[in-house]
Amino acid sequence: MESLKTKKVLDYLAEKRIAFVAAVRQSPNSDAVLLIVHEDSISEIATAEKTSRRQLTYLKNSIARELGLIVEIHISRGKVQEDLEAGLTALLKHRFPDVVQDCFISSFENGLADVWFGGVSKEAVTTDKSRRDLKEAVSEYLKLFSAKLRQLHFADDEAKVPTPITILKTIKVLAPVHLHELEANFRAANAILPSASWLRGKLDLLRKQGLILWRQDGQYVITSSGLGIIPHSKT
Amino acid sequence: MKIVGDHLTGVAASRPNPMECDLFGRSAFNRYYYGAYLIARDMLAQLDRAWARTSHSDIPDLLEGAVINKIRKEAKNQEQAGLLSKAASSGHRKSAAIAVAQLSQLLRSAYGVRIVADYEPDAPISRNGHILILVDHSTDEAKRWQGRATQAAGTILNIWRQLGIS
Repeated sequence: MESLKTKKVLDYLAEKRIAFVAAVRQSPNSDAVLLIVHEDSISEIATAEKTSRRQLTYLKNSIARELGLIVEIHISRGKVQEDLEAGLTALLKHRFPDVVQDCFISSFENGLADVWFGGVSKEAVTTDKSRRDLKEAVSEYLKLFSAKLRQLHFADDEAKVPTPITILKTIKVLAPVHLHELEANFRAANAILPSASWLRGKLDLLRKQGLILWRQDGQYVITSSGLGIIPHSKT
Repeated sequence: MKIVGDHLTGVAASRPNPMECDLFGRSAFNRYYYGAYLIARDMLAQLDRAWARTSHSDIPDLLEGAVINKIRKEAKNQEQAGLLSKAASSGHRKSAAIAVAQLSQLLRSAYGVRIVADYEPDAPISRNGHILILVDHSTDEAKRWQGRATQAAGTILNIWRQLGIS
């Protein structure tokens, strides 16, 4: 069902020697022509075989200008990536049963891959060794496809250790506040405090940075520069 | 939503009548899309209540605009104030950018498929064994939309919270 419009676009692409468009279709829900591009063939920078997002926008505009046609770019996940992901999931499920339920490979560029685990049970990866084993298995697998692992991401990575900014925000709310009150507050919120002296160390740092004050009565308060870096939630 | 989609896919694939297969198959794609959409909407509501009612087609732009910009800005501010190391700050920005790109791309393409499934009965579903295909997207791919969205949304929300934005 090749319409006149899609034919025109196909000719245009052939004339410009553009090979990264996988298919051209008439959009079923509008007047536009759909250009289907696989995610595999998009990279940050355009090269001989690959295109970039910028180039796609440019192509869209030049077709509008030269052919007077509206085109929509439709990016579909590449087949390679889908297969790679399915294989990795199967491998990890087999080698680490009860640990890995699902994993995802994010944009696969220049042979570097980021791998994300969905629903990795916390206990399973608390030790450095189990993390290392997992990482090794992923790296070995990617190597078979001449790819390298850039980073592993766990679902709730470090989410529960308070960050400096959350400590600052909590002080703002509770001030003036004693160290033990702050600690109790974080524990009540299910936060993880790595060691007994950890929070005191963090508070010292904030104090040296001039973001909080330690008053003579032993209570902490926030300073105006401390207030200044707390994000406004208004958008 | 995913279990509903899986069920409908099974029903569709077992219908000998192609018309019936088409009807159930369309609904399967619709449910798979909603699985991902609801995850994204829930995340946006947690980022900022004002975003809870963002329309389907505006969500990807919101992610690639206001959401990522806010993360970049706060990460830089906190780096300047000495609250975050340079590595941590750029790590947050990079992870957020990857997750935002993943989620917005996923929603765009899944939404496109859902529109065809719901409003374009002339675009047929084809069958390959137990796999259904609609405009170049298979149920095998669609099955993973919800999981993929969950992972990306979790990453964005996590970074948002670590930066103390809400």
